[in-house]
Amino acid sequence: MIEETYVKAGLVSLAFNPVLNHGDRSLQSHQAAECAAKQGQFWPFRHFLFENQNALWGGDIRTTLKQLAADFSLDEGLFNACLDEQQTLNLVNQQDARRLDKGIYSQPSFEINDQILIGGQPFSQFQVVIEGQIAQSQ
Amino acid sequence: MSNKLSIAIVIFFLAILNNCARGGTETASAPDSSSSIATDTLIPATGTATPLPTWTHTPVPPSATATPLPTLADTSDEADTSAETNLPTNTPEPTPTPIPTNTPVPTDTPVPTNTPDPTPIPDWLTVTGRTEEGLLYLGNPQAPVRLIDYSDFM
Repeated sequence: MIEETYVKAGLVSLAFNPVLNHGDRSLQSHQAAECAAKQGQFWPFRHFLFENQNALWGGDIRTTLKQLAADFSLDEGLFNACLDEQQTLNLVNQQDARRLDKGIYSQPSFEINDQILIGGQPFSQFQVVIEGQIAQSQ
Repeated sequence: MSNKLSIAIVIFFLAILNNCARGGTETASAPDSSSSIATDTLIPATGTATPLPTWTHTPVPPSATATPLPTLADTSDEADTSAETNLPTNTPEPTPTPIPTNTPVPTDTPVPTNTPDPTPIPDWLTVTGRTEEGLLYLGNPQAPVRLIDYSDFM
């Protein structure tokens, strides 16, 4: 709803910072998302991964991720090579270190300009904070 | 008896006539002895006759408000019919003045000018990039609010 309400209107830019709280599974998953970014499909594949979150908990994580990529119609050759070669490993690790430097340990957490919201929030709560920030910027 | 009465009546009338002839004045001649009557009993003697009053005409000065009496117009054919009568003529009723309505003043129609097409607004949901810190972002990079989602897929 934030994307449809505020991002589409040009009022909010949405950024993503990975949180690696569940070991290798988290690391592989976030690398897979960055591999999709190489094909310009980060945001839709990110949504797809959240919709199939349960599948990430079972089996081989890379196999699962490759299957999901195929299901999503990504270029399997490029994606598989990217994932196998861990082409995006450093980038993912750098982003995780950033959130640790900011003191972000819980997920999901949200940084709205200089204001932090921890945990899942109703859309109305986001509205209050976002519109307050918009008013301050005017 | 009736003969005496008749004679008395005649003598009476004669006395009256004699009195009228005198005019009622002192210079009236003496009564005719032949018609002596007892005037003291029938006709009272009068002194002077009261003259009859005479009417005198006092001219009335002309009044400013006096209205001359209308004279009858000449009925000849050559008479001016416009001044024929002072009777009112049928004057046409004035035509009603139309009530003016608020007529809008026509304004100059603006001539369309060649205006450039406005800059299309991008679909911010299709704009992606990477921040200076290396984070992937979606939307307007100049947006007043930046929301960073710290999440794990697990």
